[in-house]
Amino acid sequence: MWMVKNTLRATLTFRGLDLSIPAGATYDLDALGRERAESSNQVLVAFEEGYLENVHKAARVESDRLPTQAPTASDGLTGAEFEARMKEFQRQFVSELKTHIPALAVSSNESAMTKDVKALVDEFKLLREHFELERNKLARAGDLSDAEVRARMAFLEEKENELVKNFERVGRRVETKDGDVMGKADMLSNL
Amino acid sequence: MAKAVDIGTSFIVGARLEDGNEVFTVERDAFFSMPREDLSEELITRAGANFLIRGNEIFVVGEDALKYCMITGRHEAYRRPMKMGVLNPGEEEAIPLIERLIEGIVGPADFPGEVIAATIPAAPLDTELDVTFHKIVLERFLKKLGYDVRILNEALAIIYAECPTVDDDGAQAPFSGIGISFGAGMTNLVVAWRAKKLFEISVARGGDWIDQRVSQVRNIPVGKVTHEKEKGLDLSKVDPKNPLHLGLEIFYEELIKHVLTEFATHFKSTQTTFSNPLDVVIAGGTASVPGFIDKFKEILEQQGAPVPIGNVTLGQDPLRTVAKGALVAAVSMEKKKLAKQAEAEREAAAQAAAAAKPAPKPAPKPDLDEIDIEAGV
Repeated sequence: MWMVKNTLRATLTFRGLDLSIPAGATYDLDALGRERAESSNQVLVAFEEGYLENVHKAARVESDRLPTQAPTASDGLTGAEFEARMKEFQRQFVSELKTHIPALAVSSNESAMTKDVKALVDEFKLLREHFELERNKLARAGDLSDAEVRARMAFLEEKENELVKNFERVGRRVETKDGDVMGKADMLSNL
Repeated sequence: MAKAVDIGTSFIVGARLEDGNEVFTVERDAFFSMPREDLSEELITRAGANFLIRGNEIFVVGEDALKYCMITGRHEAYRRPMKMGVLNPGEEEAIPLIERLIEGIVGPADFPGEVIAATIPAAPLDTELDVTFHKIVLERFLKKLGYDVRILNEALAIIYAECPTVDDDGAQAPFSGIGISFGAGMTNLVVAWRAKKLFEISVARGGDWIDQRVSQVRNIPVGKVTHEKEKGLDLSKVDPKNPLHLGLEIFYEELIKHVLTEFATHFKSTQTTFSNPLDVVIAGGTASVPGFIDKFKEILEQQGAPVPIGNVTLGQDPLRTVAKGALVAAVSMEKKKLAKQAEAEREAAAQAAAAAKPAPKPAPKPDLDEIDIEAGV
């Protein structure tokens, strides 16, 4: 992930890259491919002129080449060993996440609804940081095979999307089957 | 079928009945402003966000405002149309934006004259704050959406939702008790007897007031205080070594004391007496903190109240209690309205029938069957 921010009060357009970043918005330049972004003169000039500023530049991980399918046994691990290690990683990561951010992890509308916006924003930042931290750890992990790193990265991406989606659903429609509104309305009408 | 809307400082809650279920729609009472650019507009439309264009600015409203705040990291662009329970006087775009939010939640009336009950606070005793403007603006807008608007005190709505009952010489008097709504911007209290409001007061203090006070005395940002209050505070086991929790406890106590003092002072003027104890029902986001009810009981015992008090309880769902009570009122009002209309139609039909009836002929006497048919027209 290479997050940059457009510091201008206007949209920044990189014609050669077919990219536009709205005023004040952030964008992940890794979406273009790290090499392409780093070698672009337009990006270079935008940084030099202060139009763009770095928000976060993660250590280089070739995430654009992550597999979408479960890997087969490789790098000296049997399929069963691979699966077991992956499951343990998933269990541990989700459990850590729940400890750090219980409200988001359980996707509870009610608990989230009571929070102030700044608190929510802080939690959201914490969530992103936690994912980023885990990605960096994975990128540096020397004891994992490439296939394992790729599978774990894919899992993190999927989990992050899921949680962000939950977060975005906060505070919409809530249905209850209490059913006593009509009864109380009748009682009120008859007074 | 009738609808209800509770327009609060932090959230707007809409309520309706669908297939016998109570359906609540909750939206953040907030908006996010950004400079108008063709690209932004296109992006927002594509994202399905709720927005409004005013001059050179685009306002993303409701929950979507929070998303944009997070995406861009521009906290200063996150704004609130309500302050201390009423339209924010310092926010010039408050009216069109709150209208957009309300429209998004309740939509237009399902049929002309559908009843909607909207809750508003009472005028506060402790500050110069006029609720009339707020009330008229909301009333006019809901009328524009095709509703028959009924305005309701938010604390009375708690009484309708929870239906406290008093023993009245052996008979049960429903919807009788004390309702208190501890909101973000204000605290409202009513004393009701058989669903009628006997007394009401409001103070311009609530959850936001607690946060601001603690923020001042502890020199901590308000956002952090709010976050801690909602995440970590339990009023039944406050750690005296935790200065933030201690501060929150002190100002929670101050808020409760202030409300009970104002209640005692102003209730005297009504010269009303109750011999049987009244139950107290409490709701609102500020009362959702664990241990709040015990803290309230403790202070109530110390300070006393101008009327005998029975049980003190927290509403089943403190955040939605007001909207639910307003829905009870709206459904009841619509039933009464329809019954009245039906009665008026019957009377009009009877009058039309009487006017159309030919002058009685002296002889021969009219056939009885014929009279019946005419009367039924």
